[in-house]
Amino acid sequence: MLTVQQLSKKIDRQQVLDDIDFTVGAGEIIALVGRNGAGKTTLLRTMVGIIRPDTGDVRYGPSSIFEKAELKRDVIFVPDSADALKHYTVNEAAALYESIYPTFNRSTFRETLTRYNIDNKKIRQLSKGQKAMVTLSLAFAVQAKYYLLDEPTDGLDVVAKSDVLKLMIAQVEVRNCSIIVSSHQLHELERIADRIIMIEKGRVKAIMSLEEARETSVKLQVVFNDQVPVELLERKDIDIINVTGRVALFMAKERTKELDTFVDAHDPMLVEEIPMSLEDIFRVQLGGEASVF
Amino acid sequence: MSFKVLLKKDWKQVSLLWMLLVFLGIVAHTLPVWTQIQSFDEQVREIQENPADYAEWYGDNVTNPSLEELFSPEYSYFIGDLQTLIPYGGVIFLYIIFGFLMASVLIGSERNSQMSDFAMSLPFNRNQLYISKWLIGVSGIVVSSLLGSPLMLWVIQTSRYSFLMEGHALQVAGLAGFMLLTGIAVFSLALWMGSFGGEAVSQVLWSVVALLFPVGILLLIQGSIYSITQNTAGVYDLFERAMESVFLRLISPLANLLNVDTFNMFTDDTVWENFMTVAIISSLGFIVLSFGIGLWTFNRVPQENNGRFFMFTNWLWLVHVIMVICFAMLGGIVLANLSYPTNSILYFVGFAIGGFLAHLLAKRLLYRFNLRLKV
Repeated sequence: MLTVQQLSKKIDRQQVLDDIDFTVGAGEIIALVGRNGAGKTTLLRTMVGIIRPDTGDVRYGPSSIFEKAELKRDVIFVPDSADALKHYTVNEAAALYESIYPTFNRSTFRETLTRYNIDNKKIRQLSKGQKAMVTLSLAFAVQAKYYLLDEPTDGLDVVAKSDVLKLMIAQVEVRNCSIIVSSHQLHELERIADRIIMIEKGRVKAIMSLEEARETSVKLQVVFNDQVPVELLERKDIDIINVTGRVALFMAKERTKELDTFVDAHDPMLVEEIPMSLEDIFRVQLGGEASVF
Repeated sequence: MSFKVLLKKDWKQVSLLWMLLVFLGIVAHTLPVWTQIQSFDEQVREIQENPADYAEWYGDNVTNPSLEELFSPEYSYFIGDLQTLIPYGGVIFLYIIFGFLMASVLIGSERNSQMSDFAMSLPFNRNQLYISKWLIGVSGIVVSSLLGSPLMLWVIQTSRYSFLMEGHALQVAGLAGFMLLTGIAVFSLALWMGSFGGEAVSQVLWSVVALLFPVGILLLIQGSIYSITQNTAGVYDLFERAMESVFLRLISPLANLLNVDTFNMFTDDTVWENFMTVAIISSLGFIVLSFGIGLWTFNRVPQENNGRFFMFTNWLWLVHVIMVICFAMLGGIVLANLSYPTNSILYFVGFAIGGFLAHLLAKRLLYRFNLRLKV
């Protein structure tokens, strides 16, 4: 089990991580979501020992990852670009991984390359999608227990994104490994994530499953008999998405009886609960604007 | 898990420079010897063809001087000696340049790219990462010396000037060893600077500053005292004693180099003994010191400050203060020396101007030229 214990870090006197605490179980896919600058990348880099925390620890089993570097054979970090290996050819990179990680499975790696038609070129000569596939395939061929992926689908086209997601799901299914993935591609995360960790200003705002998140918040489409009441538009606890004539579409951070009573009091013609997407949850919980996704 | 993996990774980064160093090391050890031999040949031919023109130096009785006689210290005409044959300066210059370059590729360039993050995320601790880099750089200098030095001796030994080496083989070997140790010392210094210089250019700048600093600060203090007091003798004596001190030679490879008297080490036993004890031991001492401190700082440096000029941001104030003081003294010395005799009022004016300009420079360099962090 990978445990993050009270992790805190200040950079330039700013609290970038603040008392982060969670556990990753076997076979889980955890989505790490938060607005730009929330601390997601710093958290992942700290979890693998690139950055040292001011306080707190990351433990793999009974040992600290900062004290026993060899534990990192089972905790692999995949950054958002393949820059580190750009001077390597695909085969050279595989040979490097093979020599670092005794569990590296070259045939698994080759299979992926063949499946996605990737030649043995210098990594810098590959397309962005191919680079992402190579770095992920290298990491997954290690057959580690935990993977920390930093925006693995960032900048990829639809097909490449789909390939990356398939690869991730296949790994969890076949090997029961765990993946913590940070991404702004919320509609993709909601298809694969078991749990969501929401980070806001370096703090964990919430850790929950998508179902729990959906139960916590609510998205309603209400058709009123007359105009949309001004009191509704002025409420601070809801996020108005759209108002068209007598129809209002809004989200509330918390599902409360008071809100239900408020809506009922205005005698609506129709109240329909709309299923919340992860993007909706992100927006209502973290107050994000659409432009930051 | 084998430590060789890290060597392999570092080799990939530095292999081109490493091979170039070995090749140029061989050239630097041998080519100047060969050209010096050509120069000797020309001078010898000229003297032997026109002995009368050189009677003033060799005396009338030397009408047909032999090769050995032409190089004899009995005569005042100086063609050259063993130390002119040994390309001491060229080899050390090469080691300084390549020491800086290799160290900046091994650490600084890693910090420029994501290679540094990749390395830190591997199942190795920071000690192993640093030691691997040190070993790969040192191996380049050692191989270059191990190939170059014997070839240099061979070129001398097979030339008609081999008699210059007679009885001095140990001194020549000692000098070759000193060149090697200086190369390793400079590389270790540059690697240490990379442990807190946030990227390749910063690392090279820090390396230059660190190489010059101990001697430079002495020169600045000497110049300042002289500019204010006009006391030449006392200041010069103080400076000489400080420059020759074992402490300075231990903490500065440059001071150690400047104190080696290659001119007299083949003829004067005291100089030779001083070389074998103080010079060699100071070099060894500096290697141990810089490697140890480098390892310590590499372990503790905040990795999140990659890309910054100085990664220990809590100590920026100290760098700022030192920069201001050094540039202030330099400004003072320059301005004071515009008049003769030096003018102490001008010194203080220059001190203020230099200090102010350095303060502006430091603010820009230390606080503004920082990369934005991704959090």
